[in-house]
Amino acid sequence: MDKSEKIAFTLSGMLLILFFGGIVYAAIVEDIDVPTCITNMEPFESDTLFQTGPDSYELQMVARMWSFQPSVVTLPVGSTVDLYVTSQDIIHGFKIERKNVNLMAVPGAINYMRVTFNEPGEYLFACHEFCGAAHHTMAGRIIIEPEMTEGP
Amino acid sequence: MGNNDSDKGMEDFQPKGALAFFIMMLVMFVVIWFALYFEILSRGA
Amino acid sequence: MNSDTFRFSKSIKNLNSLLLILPMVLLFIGIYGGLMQTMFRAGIIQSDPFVGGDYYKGLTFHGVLNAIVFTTFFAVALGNALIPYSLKKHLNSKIAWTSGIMMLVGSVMAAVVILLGEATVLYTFYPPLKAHPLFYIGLTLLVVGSWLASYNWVPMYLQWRKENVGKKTPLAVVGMMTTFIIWFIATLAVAAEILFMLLPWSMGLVDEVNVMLARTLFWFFGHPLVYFWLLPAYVMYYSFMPKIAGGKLYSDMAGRLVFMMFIVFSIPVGTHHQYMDPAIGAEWKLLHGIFTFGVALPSLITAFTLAASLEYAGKKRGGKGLFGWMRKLPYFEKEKWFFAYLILGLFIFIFGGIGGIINASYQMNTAVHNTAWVPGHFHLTVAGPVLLAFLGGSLYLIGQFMHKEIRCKGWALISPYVYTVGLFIMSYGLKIGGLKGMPRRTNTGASYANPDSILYQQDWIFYIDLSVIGGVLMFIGIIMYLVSFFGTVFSKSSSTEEGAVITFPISEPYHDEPAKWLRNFKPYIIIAIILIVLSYTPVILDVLEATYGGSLPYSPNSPVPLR
Repeated sequence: MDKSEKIAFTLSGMLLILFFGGIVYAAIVEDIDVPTCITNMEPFESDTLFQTGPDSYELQMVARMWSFQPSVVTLPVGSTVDLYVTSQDIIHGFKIERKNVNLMAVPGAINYMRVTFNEPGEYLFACHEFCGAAHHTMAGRIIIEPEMTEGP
Repeated sequence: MGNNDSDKGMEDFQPKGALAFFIMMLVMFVVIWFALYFEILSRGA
Repeated sequence: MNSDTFRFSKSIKNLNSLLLILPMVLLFIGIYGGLMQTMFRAGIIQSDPFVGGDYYKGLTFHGVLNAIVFTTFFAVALGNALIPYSLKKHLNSKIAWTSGIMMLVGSVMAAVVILLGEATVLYTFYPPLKAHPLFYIGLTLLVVGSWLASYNWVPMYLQWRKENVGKKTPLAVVGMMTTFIIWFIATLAVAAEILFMLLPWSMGLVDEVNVMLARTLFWFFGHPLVYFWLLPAYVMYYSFMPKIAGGKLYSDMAGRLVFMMFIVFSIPVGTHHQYMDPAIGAEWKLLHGIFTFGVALPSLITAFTLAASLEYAGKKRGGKGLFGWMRKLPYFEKEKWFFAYLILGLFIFIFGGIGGIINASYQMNTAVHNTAWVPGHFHLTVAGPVLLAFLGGSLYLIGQFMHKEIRCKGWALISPYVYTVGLFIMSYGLKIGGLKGMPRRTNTGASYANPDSILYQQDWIFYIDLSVIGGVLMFIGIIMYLVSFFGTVFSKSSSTEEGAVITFPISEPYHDEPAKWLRNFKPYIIIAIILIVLSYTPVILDVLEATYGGSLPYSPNSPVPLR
């Protein structure tokens, strides 16, 4: 291996270490992570939304051919949501636009992510895994209201 | 295609241009990667 | 030197020609499907005008025929060409023909059930969507046929090693053996998925499958599949390109190191496709992410080594200064049309490479997973460097095996340029659209891109339209190629001589270090197996622990299970 190859090799390694540092920083300091393995949750077959604290909610969402239940969720700005997603039939995908939430909804498993909405507005979530003939119609919205009007 | 006889003047070949190109490519990688990285950070937890 | 040529038997020449021509027909059907994808997504068409059926059927045959069928055939044909050629040994033609026939029968079987609409499950065939059993049987035949082809090479390789103690195995052989070592290990998982889970379940022998387990086995195979596509292209980059450009391979050892690193890191990385999945611990996902960074290294080394080889060629051709060599390469020389396919692929792969690193970057995957970014990315890899190298390789090989002069060289030369321009436009549209939230595998034309739909997303439209423009250009590029390819196939042979010889442009190395530690596959295979066990045991245990119940089969047309 000659000098130029050694330089190229070293720089490549440094590049990957730099990226890895970024990943670790985002995970630990910014708390932006990927979903992990959940075993402490009872399987559920219908959707539920309930308040667990002043600004926190738990949402159990069910995906099925070809809709999400619930398909419209209205919450006040500043809400933190413990989001559980599963599927009743085949594999679906759930991604909230402009947020770091992207979950596969797989039958026989529960997926989980915590998300906080600090900006009011409408957030589309569209099914992103092929789930049959009407897959492209499977979508819903999270509506974050500027301030509390009524209980959700 | 083969003109292996004309290796004259190539004995002390050093790939300086290739190294410069490679470094520019890595710099571009850093720029693209961090553009997306900061987008992720701005989307928040 | 005599070693530049080899006489293949008539039977092997016929077989290899068949292994190139039939997949080219299937590739054309698949590429037609690709063009229709862009039209569907823009809402220009609502059903396929020629083949019939919806977007998802088209997406299935586009993916299966292009990414699985065409690539596997070409990898086998390239091995059947380069291994006998480099080792100066003959293939066992019975085994070679058996493998070829299995692959042909399997592929046609799978293609027919897809085109009949009985297997609209996309090329990932995730359960509990169920395909016709013949789809699974067809894929199995294709894979087993490709195994058989590679078993044919093993005794040739071992015998050559015995006869040439102390000599380096030709780099092209190392590359092809690497390709099929990875392929063999990886396909074991998908074979297990198909034979023990999906096939009995689709035939009704078993009621339910564990969907997460099937998915995990699929991705055990699904990422090394990427290297199975890429490595034959690497073999051509390392072996052919420096020679065609008029230079030498800068470092022989770098090539060998790269292939061994692929054996080590190709497989224990599959869970980076499942970052967003339930039932797998985040720490194991991160481990797979780290190994994926490991597998980025050999590609980075390749980028440098090939740039250095091209600099050597360009300087020899009179290039001056730091970047003058770049202008002296044979981009538009008709007689060196093959160079265009290789260099454009490499250029595309710069962008494919960084896209891949982004996908692998753990939580950054959240922004891109299953969005249109992903097809935008992999068209810059498998439909970029891989496809272009395979098309160039197919044209070169068919010319050699049929002893024909390449026809319409101008078309063959311009085709990859047209294709590349189209590819960049389409991928840009898909990638930026994806970052805006546009999902992949979705018939947007019927909802998100339809102004009458409540789901209409105006800010995606520009990017969807870009992908139509790009797709049309890519299609035109391929048509230009096919004119040259089939023009060559159906032209008169330039040599009627029975024993005409075949030759490949094999590059000499500039630096040729002994690299004794890179001469044996065994230690690297052992390290690979250790890493696979370490990285996959906890993943499989998580999946088994955290999943419940099983899944009955579904058709894509009904929310009620099939039984």
